[in-house]
Amino acid sequence: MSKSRFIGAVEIGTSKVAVLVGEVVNGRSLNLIGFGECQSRGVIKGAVADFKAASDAAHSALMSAEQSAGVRIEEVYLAQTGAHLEGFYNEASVSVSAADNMVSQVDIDTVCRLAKSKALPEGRMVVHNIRRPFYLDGRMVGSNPEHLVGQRLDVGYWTVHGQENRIADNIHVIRGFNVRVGDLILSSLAAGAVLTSPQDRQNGALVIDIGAGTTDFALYRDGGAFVTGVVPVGGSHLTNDLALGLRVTEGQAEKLKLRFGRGTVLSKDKTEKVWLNGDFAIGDRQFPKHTIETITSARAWEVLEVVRKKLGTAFVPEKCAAGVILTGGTARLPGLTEAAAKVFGVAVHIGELPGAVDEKLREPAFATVTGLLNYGAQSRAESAPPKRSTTGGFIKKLFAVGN
Amino acid sequence: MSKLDSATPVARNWRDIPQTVAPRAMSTEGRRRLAFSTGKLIATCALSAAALWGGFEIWRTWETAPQTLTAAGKGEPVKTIELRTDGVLDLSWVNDVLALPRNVALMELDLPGLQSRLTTTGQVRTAVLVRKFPSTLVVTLQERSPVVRIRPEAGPDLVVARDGTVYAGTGYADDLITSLPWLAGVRLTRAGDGYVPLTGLETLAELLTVTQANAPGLYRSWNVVDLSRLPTDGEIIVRSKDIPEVVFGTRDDFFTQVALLDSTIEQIALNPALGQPSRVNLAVGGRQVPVAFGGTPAPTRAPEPAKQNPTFFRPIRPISLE
Repeated sequence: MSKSRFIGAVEIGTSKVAVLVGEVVNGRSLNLIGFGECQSRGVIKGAVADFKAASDAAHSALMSAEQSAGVRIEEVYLAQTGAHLEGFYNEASVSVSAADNMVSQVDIDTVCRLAKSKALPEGRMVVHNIRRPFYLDGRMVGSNPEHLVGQRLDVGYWTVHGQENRIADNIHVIRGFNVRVGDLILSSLAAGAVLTSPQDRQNGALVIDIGAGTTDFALYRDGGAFVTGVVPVGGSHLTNDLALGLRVTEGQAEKLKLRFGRGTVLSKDKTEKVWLNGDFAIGDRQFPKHTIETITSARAWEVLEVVRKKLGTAFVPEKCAAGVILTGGTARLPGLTEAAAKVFGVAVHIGELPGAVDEKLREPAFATVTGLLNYGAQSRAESAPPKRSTTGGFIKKLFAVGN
Repeated sequence: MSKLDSATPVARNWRDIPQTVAPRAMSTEGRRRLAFSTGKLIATCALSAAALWGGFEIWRTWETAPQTLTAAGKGEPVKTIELRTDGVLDLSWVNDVLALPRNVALMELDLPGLQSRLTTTGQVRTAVLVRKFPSTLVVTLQERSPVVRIRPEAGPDLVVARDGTVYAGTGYADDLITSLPWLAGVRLTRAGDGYVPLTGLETLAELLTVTQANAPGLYRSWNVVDLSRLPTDGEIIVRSKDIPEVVFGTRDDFFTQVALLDSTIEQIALNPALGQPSRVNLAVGGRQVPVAFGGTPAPTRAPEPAKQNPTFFRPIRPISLE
């Protein structure tokens, strides 16, 4: 008899709140059964600024998703973003304790605990502890060095931490709907989980999720997340720049961005003009296309440059064979891939969700929430302790022969 | 705590944030969901408590007074008896035979005992009794059909079914009974409240069925069928209104013999000079039918009563449990 569990994934973004409902059958297969979306309110650059407004938007998306799925959600995975999130790397090493130099579980636990034990400033909390591969006497041994022989065991952790009150605000918005937060997942890791394959992560890949208020990125290497980060700049800054530069309202600027914005300047003719609305009605105006492209591309380049700068020495083009994967609502900006290719010096493409996902959800804007569900279900399955037989194999076989 | 544990600083994790929210910080939908989940929890607790209490009460009753547990299964008294039959017996007859005590509970009925009461009568071939809750007893009967009638030495006339069962015959229409021929040449042997089933009735029933179906006029004229020579000579003797003795053999098929008899009577009727036939023998076989003339027709009254073997028997008494 199949056993089903219903889980939700919630992304409280700057421009929208998206909720997905998934059905995990027998703890293995995941089916998307419900979707809810609502325009976000009370959220600035990924952080809750107005609790009431943010709650109303999030709850209405949750209700819509529940109605669409026809089930009641008891637990959700919540995406976490915002400029308050930071990361650092800490590593530790231990001498293998056994006389025969065989690594035991105690050695692994000790080195992991030491690598994670880094005090944080007041008011900061750990969101993720991402383990990098183990090294035994300088040799990379992957994820489980138990029973291998060596003298020194090293491991490092990339720790993502954030402001306690910001994290608590997000959790309380969800708790206001009387739903438990099962896990808190970094937006970039969620998007990366669904846009990259294990092979991509092994070869090295950089996922950049350019949202409305923030840009999240995750650099993968050696099969796991190597560095993550958040830049408090996103698509809304492009809109804002256009509004200031062209002296139009934000709504008009958004419209111009979607129609004529580009990541690279394509227009050579500086005199070429485009209409604001194109309906020749009163108030309709003309703007130089070259100017629009220049403004949007300048900001897009800046965002990418900031990401590159934040990655620092961690980003090595030669160790990023799978290239850069762009996602998020702003990833649809024409010419952005060319801009990213010039900034990072590697192949760039827009992230594509698996074909099994519904047509509407295949938009880059929904990569995070889709990945959230996938990441959450996967990590839950991986963290479950392996089932062990209660009777010994030999005794079992003995009785089997007796029967 | 080990030395290492005490020395390593522990960073706070997001899971340390309490996930409790005051209801005032919740949205309307959130409060509604909270009330629903609280109600669900209370209902689950109440049901669990009720189940535990019920289990405890049953256990305590079992320990102290187990008889009350069995008494609990008495059920309601029988209010209706529903009869389904393929024959002529009616509900009043069933009521008389079963004679259930007033207000007897459905679960208290001894169904095998009641079934044997019904089947003892002979007219009932099979009886099935089913409890239909809450208060109905369903009685399904399969009845025997009479083939001939017989007069015992003492007591009222009886009827005999195709399988040889001799029984009183209740509920049949008078003209059905009077249309049956009398049976002679057999001995009735008592067995309990009834009689031992007679032999040879299957053969006789076949003859009567064939005649009734193909020559109903002949059948109506038959008064007595005699089986006295059936076991020894394989012959059935029929005494009719017109011919004192018609002998049927069991070697040939009855349809041919009945056809021959019909043809013979027709031929005799065409030659009045031959007189009244006294004996027609159809048991010879072939197309030859020896006919003797000069007899007198058989009386229309019943034959001599069938002789009974000397046995001890008990008179049938009506059963009343009231």
